[in-house]
Amino acid sequence: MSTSALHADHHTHDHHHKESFISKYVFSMDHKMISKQFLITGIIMGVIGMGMSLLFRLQLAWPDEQFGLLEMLLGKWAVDGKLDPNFYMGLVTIHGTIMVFYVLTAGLSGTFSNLLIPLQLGARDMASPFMNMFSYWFFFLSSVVLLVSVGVETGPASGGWTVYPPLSALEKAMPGSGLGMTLWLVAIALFIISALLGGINYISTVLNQRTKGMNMNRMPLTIWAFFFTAILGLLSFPVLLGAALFLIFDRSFGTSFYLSDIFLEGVGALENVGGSPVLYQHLFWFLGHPEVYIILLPALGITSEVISTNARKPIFGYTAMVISLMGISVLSFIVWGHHMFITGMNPFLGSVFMILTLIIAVPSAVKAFNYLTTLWRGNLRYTPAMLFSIGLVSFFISGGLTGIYLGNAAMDIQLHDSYFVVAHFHLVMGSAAIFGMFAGIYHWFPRLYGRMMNNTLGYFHFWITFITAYLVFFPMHFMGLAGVPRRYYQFTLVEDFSVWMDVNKLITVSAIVGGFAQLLFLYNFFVSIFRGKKAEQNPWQSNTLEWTSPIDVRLHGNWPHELPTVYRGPYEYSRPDRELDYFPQNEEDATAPEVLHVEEKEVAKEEAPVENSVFFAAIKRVFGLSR
Amino acid sequence: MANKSVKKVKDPALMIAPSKLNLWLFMLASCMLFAAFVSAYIVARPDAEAKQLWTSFDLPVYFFYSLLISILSSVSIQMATVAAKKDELSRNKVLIAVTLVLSVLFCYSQYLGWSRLVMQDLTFVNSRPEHISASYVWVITVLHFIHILGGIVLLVIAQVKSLRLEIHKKQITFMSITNTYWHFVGLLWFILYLFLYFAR
Repeated sequence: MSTSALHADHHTHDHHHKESFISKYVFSMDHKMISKQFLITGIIMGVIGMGMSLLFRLQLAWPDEQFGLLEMLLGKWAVDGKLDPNFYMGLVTIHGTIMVFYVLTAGLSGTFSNLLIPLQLGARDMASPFMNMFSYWFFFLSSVVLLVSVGVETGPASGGWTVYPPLSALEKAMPGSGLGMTLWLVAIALFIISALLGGINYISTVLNQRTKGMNMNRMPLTIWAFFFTAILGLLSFPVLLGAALFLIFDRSFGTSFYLSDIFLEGVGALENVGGSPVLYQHLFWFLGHPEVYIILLPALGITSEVISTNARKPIFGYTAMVISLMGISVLSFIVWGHHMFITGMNPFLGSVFMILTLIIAVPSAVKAFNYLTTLWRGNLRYTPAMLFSIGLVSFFISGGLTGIYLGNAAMDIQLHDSYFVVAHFHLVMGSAAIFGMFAGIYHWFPRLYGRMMNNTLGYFHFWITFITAYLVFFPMHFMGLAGVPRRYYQFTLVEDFSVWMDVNKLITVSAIVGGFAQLLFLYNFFVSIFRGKKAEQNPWQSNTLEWTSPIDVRLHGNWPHELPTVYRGPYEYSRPDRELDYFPQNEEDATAPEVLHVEEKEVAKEEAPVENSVFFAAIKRVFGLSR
Repeated sequence: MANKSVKKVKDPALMIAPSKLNLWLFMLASCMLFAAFVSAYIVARPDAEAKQLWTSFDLPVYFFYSLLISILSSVSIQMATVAAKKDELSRNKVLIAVTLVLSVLFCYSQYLGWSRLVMQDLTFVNSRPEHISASYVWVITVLHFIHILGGIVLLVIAQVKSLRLEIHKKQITFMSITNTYWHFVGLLWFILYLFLYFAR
């Protein structure tokens, strides 16, 4: 009997217990409620992060204009309506931090891993609901500390989201290196605890809590993506914690892990020397690069599910998709050096990192190819979720191609710290992941709230966001190729850069239009929670188990009686022998060869695709998953 | 026929208690944290040596005593677990108590080791530039010590549970978790000690 089954009775009794407001909505241990908490907090952080980007885009487009609104909003940081340079750097730093960690890591993965892992695997809840609750509250606390840091007297951390020392290590380096930086470190330490608690839970649930019949080769690709994401987080966030600890020691205790030979105004700034700022970069990017995939993989998993469902076709190359996810995950740990080509790295080592980086193009291309071939000649349903998923594929390809340029050491030395880099990662990581998140929200909104979002508003939201995202980030490639550096406060003082002012204005106007489009989403989201059309049990005619749990009532334990049993994979759409064009995973069909009854096991083995059985047998052997 | 078959569908889930699996995952994350510090040591050393800012020094002998104590305590906790599995409850109580005593001795030996470092002017905040190597030793040993404190908390709970007869053959999960974690911190110290000894 599985652990899930062991807990079944316990949980079926659980949902009859009366819950107080506090235990139901605040310190909830129900994964669905925790998922909503992550989502709402992520949306709030996203609005703040995007709002910050609009403020510094105003500065970049009209550096000599005075905006009374800015002074009203920011007070001393925008005297006479002009953004203070230090605060500009703070906005850039906090925007990056919020978007990377708080929106696209916790907001995306926290929401959908929590919602879908138990529901799609047929589990009552996470392996440890208590740890799950703590995971959210550490995230919440971390968010509060980060936002508080924006309001401190000396301003927020302002050394860029990577907080490289010595800027981040020396309090005297710049105003933002004071209390703001200390709070940034506290916030990130809390965030790491949250990410580790969540990650441990996700992995444990996937390995241990699957329902009857849910072999790993029947798991939806969303679950595979969340699983690899959690492994990446588990292995890389502790290293970031190590990097942050060294930084805290250097800042607050007087050690010199990262510091050496620094003079301020001709005077030695340090009592102790001997460290190396490059060491921080090694530690930071050992997390930093997997972090890219911690952000992207969940979005890719969501896209797989949405595209297959709305193309009414099995996902093309399920096994290849899983291997690609695994390949990307493994490679992501051995390519961090490509962020450090200009640190004086040995050229031979640079070549090694370059080759490894370019190899990532292979599994990435497999995924892009498989998305396109799944779409090819499908009975496409252009729901908002489907459009956002197709948008993700577009960004994944256009942004991914420029990654091949940046992964090349010789090119990177020219393009490093230019707008080309900004364009690259905002397309492939930022836009692609946020589109995956939107796809997930539109697709699983009925599962979250039992109601439907408005499709018309969804279409407007998609098209405006899609067009403006390209208008914002595509021109940045050309600016970067011309050598325009990132993070500069004002470009009008250098003639070579001032020629780009019209482009900067186009970018800013597009960003503002794109920003307003998000108001459509917010309106649609919050109004639909209360007034949206009531959802059917399985509104997208999907195969996966989350649509078999009642969506009109919130049930802690997910299924009122027995847990569902799984008989087949998640992507059996448009089977010629079926009248309906979908075949839910839990629907029994004794005549179908996919039903792996014990007594028919040997026969079924012979009929199973060889590559599937060999691959999954190998995976099970490696991970020790077979009994 | 169909219903009969349903009951026989193979259930692939593992037979591991969630808390045990979570512990293994936590230990994996801990390993990565120590790997980060050890890697930092390896990366930083050549740079610092080139600037003549690295001092090689012998580890205090007390850290070796810590190693011996941790091996003894691993043996005792293992014997305590075996005793619990055989329902030898008195033996289990005594062996947990022995492990607890050894864990306190481990802490004391660590304290003596750190005192010796301080006497040699090898402090966490290096008093002289060339003593940056000492900062690494401090970070690694203190962080390990924090893990030991976690283990001591588990041991105390296990002791209380054993006194209340809540650890026995049919209720072994907590004992097993304590056992695994204590072996982990012991093994960790073994590896870290060897690293610091040979890399000095």
